[in-house]
Amino acid sequence: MDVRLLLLVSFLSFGAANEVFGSAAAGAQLCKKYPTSTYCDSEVNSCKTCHSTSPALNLYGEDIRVHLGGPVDTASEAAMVSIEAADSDGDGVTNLDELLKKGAPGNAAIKPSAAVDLVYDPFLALKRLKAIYCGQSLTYDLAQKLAATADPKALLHAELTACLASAYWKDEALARLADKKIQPLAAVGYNGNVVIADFRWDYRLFTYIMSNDRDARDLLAAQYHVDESGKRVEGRQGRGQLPQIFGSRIVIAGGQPLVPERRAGMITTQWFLSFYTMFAPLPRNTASQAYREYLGMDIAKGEGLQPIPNEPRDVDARNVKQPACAVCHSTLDPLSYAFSTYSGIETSVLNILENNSGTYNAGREPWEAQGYLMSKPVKSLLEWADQARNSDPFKQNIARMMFRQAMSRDALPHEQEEFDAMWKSMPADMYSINKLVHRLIDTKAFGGRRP
Amino acid sequence: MKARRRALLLILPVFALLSASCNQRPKWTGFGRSSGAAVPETSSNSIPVASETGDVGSSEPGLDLVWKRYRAFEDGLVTGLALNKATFCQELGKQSCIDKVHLTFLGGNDPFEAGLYERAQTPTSITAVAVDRVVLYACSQRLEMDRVAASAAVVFKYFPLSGTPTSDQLKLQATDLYHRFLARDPEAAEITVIQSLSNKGLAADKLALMMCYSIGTSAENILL
Amino acid sequence: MIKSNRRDALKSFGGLAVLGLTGNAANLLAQAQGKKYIFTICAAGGANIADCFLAQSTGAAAYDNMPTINGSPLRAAPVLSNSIKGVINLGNGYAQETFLKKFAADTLVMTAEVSSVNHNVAGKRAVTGDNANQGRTLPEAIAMAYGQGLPLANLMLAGGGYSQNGDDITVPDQYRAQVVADPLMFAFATHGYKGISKLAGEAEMKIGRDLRQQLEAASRLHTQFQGGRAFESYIKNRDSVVEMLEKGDTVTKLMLLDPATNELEKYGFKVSADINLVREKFQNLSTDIFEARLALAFLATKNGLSNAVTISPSNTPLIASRGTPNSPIAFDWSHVDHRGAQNAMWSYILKGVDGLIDLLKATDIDGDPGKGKMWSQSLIYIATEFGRDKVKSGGSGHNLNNGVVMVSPLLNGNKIFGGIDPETALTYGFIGDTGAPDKTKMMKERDIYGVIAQAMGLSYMGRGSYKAVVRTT
Repeated sequence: MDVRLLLLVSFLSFGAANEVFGSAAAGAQLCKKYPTSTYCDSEVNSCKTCHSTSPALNLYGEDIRVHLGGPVDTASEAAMVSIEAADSDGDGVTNLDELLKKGAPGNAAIKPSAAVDLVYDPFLALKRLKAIYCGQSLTYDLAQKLAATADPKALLHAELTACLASAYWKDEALARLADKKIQPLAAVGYNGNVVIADFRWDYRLFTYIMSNDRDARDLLAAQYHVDESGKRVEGRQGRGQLPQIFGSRIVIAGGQPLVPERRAGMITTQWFLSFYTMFAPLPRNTASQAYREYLGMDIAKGEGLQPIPNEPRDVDARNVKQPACAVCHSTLDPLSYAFSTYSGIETSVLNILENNSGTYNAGREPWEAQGYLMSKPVKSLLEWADQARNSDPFKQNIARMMFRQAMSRDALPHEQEEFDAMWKSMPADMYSINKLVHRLIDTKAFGGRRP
Repeated sequence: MKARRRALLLILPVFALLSASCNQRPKWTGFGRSSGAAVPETSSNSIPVASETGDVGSSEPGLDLVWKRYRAFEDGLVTGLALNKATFCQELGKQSCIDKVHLTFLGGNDPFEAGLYERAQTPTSITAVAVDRVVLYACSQRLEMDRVAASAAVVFKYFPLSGTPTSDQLKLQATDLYHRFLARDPEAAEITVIQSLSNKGLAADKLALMMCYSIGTSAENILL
Repeated sequence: MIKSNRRDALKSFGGLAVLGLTGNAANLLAQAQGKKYIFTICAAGGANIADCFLAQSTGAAAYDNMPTINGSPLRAAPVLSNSIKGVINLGNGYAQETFLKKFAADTLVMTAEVSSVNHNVAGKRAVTGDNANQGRTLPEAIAMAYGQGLPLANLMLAGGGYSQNGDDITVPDQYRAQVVADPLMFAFATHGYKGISKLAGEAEMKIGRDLRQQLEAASRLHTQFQGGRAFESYIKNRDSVVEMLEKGDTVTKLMLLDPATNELEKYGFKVSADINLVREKFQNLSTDIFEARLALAFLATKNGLSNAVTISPSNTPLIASRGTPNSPIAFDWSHVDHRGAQNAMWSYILKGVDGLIDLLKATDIDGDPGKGKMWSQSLIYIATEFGRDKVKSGGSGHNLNNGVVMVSPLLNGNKIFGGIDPETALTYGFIGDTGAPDKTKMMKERDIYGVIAQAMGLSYMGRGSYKAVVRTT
């Protein structure tokens, strides 16, 4: 916890293998040449053709490295062509076939989808949906009911509807889905030794938005909060525990003191701003966490790098202009500017008494209006959030989150079409998570098995 | 930045008031868990583990199975065998198997105290041990309850626990357990296997317990 | 030297290695003789080397009253009178000097400048060498090479970035970290039936498990999903690991609960036969999770369960009437009190390592005197995320510049590899082959990884040579 300034080194600096990672151009070239290949569907995935996890190369990436005849920016396409007939991962399928037919040339476990022929098994789907969304085991009586019905899909959806309204789903399963986004730390959270904020607000807001057909874009838009009774509440929310500076423990902050008009859902709660920004003038960690958890792009893994010209300017004198750092900071710093007018932890006695952690302060730093998100300028965090929640990466990330929650893995190449249909349906479904899950259980990824 | 550092100094009197009672406060145990329960101090550490991301869990199409994680697994035992959720499985008679001792091995995670923000992607080396223990707790508790209940037994009611079961009785008991654990009828081959138990020389109560255990811990009850 | 060329390995193993199903895969990779142990001690929060064995008596981060360390280039900061703002005593009083007096011959400092000051990212890079070895963590690599056949080869008693799986998808499941949240209760997870029912003894369980196997073979699930990763992996673990753990009476060997306050006998359990041995070194293991983890680490390696263990302290201060030995949020308390946090936490970490080394020095590998002491094949890596600003007092921020401590008879100890500018307290690097300091060079995470790999006899594509750092016998 704390300042968490990302000063990521470039992977350019240590050898040819990493030049591939260092150049987003290589991925772009591959996707231009093989636009329908498995991992060219989204920004997040595009590195997977060559990398196991960036910067580590997979076998196909290693082959490209070996066959590079010049700088990666210009020579990678030739290298790709030169190994089209090879079988880098040794799975019996040529690289070209893998690239053209939804295989993965660097992963022996993923082959072209032609051989896939699955049937949808309602019994399997019912067992799974009861466990995942109800926290229950399928009963014999319900299984018998399924066997007897003329419309198994209707029964599945009726059961799912009940599950998504259950206490298990709302209070437990969705909360566990939020853990990675919120990262509660008991020692400094509610009832800890030193309370910097109350993360229970974050859990309530998350589960509220993710349930009952609400608009998931509120994750980055909500200007309301949810109280302990589960009721939506407007305006600033007072702290649950009084500030404590003369007692057995320290309570720096609590409640939700940020003015509503400056809120953008989960990324402007007091916990989020306090925990991730801490004392940083430029809240890079806050921005990168928002980017990672709500748009699915992890800069630490080299995902979502979209350099802005003349960045990084090194506005806080952290020596990030050096080439080794600039690879990431040319994206990260502009991504962070919009957060710089939101305070982290405020520790003076006056600020503790006034509950100023996680509030808006236009004079905090001067960079607010200089930011960029996904190559587009943003003048404020509200613009940042608006652009983010209406983007394809946001939809893809939500769909991926729900897919992983169900299947504990990402969609496989032969499931990509179903996955794409899921996230593309979100606007028509008014960004309802419930509707998204109803679509998910209809997929063969969820209920399919071999005949 | 310097101003901020100076401001930090203002907090000094605050920290000066930390006292020995800090650690004795009840800890919040989070959503979906029993609140207010005392959690030993020794369960605290930090941040996340493992991941559910990437291609690591790739499987061949159509051969994928979904892990029945802790809550659904618990529900299957509690509902299937009509047990008390709060008490059916406690190590040393005091620590919850599901919510504490074996939580991570059964596919859960404890973000608040253990700082684990992600669950394991797949069952770990230890999962099968935890499954064995929890199912055995459940089956033995039901067995003892039914022994006391005698004619009012709920699950183990197809043959006397002190007698010698017939093949038909074994079939009836097995069928009931398949219904309760796996939500299906047993197949003929499975019944045949069960009936072969009568040759093992087990006392009736032990035989009943092992039937319950073997069906309850079968991979079909863990992987969906 | 064990070669692990990932490409060749993958080609050889085909898809099975990817699926984590071949124990032989690791054998092919390793072909190792004997055991080697790595203990990664997580100095979580940012442990500053200039506040430990590179402490200086002049310059930006000078200490007063530094003890004299005879016969060693290593330095020690004095034990300070620390407190949490004057009210709660902070620290256990253990002197860095004491550690060096006992272990200087096997202790070295290697300087480095890391690449991230984000705790989570930096913690992971501390164990992956910033993906030096295709993303494989050090514990994964060491477990694969020397932990074949061990049921819990890679035991994870830590959190944060240190505990995350590496990014190498070819690491088989059995060498991935087995996360243990509560070391005191872990023993219960190593026996499938003990202490539950009088009706379920060894003979009955054998029948029950045989029955299960036959039922599964007859089931439709078996027919439909045989060959799938989840199904095969689960069955494989169950059929091999469970039996191994039970037959070895692991539940007793790892039992750390105090019989005086827990009804072990009533439920048929016994406390570990080594309890007095570990209690002598870790007197507070019942209340101090770091000590409990160290004790479990020793018992797990001693009893042939693990060979790669990662251990971190708690973020929560262990406040008692006499004060607390550790600071809140570990080394990261430096933001509030740099000297107090660093001084207390270094003492806390080193005291724990001291106890662990004593145990390893006294214990034969596999209980066989012919194999030598465990310590002879052990390496302790005190990992940390990054350093701190080089200051004498007040709170300090994160700093990429730092160095790490390693302790092992496999290393060329009693040396500093690299150097430190006394005026700025900033470190610089060295030449790997000769060990000569080089003020123009900075060592990176991959160098730390490479040194440990070389000392442990592991080679991989792209590994540097650090001949000077490794002990040759």
